[in-house]
Amino acid sequence: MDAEHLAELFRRYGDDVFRLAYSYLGHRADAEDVCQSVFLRLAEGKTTLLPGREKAWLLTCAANACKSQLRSFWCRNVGELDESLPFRDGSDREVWQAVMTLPPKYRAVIHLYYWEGYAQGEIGDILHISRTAVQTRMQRARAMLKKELSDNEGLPARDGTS
Amino acid sequence: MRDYRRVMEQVRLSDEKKEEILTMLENQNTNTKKYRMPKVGKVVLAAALAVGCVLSIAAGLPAQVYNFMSGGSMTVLPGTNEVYLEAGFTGAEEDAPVRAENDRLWLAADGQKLDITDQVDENTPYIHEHTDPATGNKGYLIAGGTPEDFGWVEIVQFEIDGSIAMSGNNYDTVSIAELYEAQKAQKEANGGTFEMVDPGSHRPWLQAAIDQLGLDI
Repeated sequence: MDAEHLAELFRRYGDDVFRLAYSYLGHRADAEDVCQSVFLRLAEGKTTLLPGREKAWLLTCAANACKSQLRSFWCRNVGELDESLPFRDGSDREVWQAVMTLPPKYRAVIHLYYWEGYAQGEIGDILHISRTAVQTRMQRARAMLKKELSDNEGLPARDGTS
Repeated sequence: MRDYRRVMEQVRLSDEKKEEILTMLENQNTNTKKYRMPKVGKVVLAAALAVGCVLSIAAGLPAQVYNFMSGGSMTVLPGTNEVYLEAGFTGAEEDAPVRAENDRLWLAADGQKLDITDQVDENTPYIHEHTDPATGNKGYLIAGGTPEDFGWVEIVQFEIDGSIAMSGNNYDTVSIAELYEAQKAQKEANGGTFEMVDPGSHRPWLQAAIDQLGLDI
């Protein structure tokens, strides 16, 4: 893969990879490292991306890296230091903090469903879990969020309705 | 209803980071692919110490610190659920407390150098209890495997809040490098497609040690 193609993929999907990593890890610096490693992995030139599957590969690679990092010395039990993402208002921060109370594996499912718009089967493919596991995590995450958020509205349906 | 999408729209790579990664990609500089975790760790620790001073005064409790034998340290701020890690083991063989020499496995700690070859295997750990001379906090150096394929890890768990930190090498079944390699091998074998690779778990000797010590990891 030539440098221009790599750069184009990064411009198109860099933020998406970063968002998944950030939702997984909750720390900007860690998410940036994962993002960088995913694209540099691609730059090694030994990966053949299937047309139309580039984003799924990048997100899969990012999810793998996040899982590994969550088990690592650097990430385990690190406190919540990250104030580097200034949200527009307090309610946005409240939503983010509520999401961050979820276990990382639940956050990933929520992110891929609500932000990326993947179907449950596709999420299962990316995270290497069954569709049933995706459904279970989704249900549990929604229940935990509903409890966490003070207005008890939970997350909306993906079309924006409650 | 607060909208997750609205929140995530605000989550983006910084312009500086984008520029940095783009420059790397355009130069195809694969030498920079290493994680910057040690650097991140140092930044985290610096912040922790600054915050810790303030909180310790406010709470009247000192920060709890454990210095790993293999380098780096862990700091807990009581009452805050905040734990910070400084850069630990660098990966340099000469800094590792467990090494293979002449087909034997050696553990060096607390001024001793022990031949542990016959006391460990893939399922059996060697556990060395260590007290941090600077702080008095207790930790464990755990090793296992064979001289051909061994691993080790330092574990500290603070009684004050149960926080745990680990620093070591080759103590889980799959490393991130191995994950990538496994994916690559699959792609090359399958013409560009691959299955997800299981990120693995603790190696049996480590799991045995965790069970033996009653640690909640």
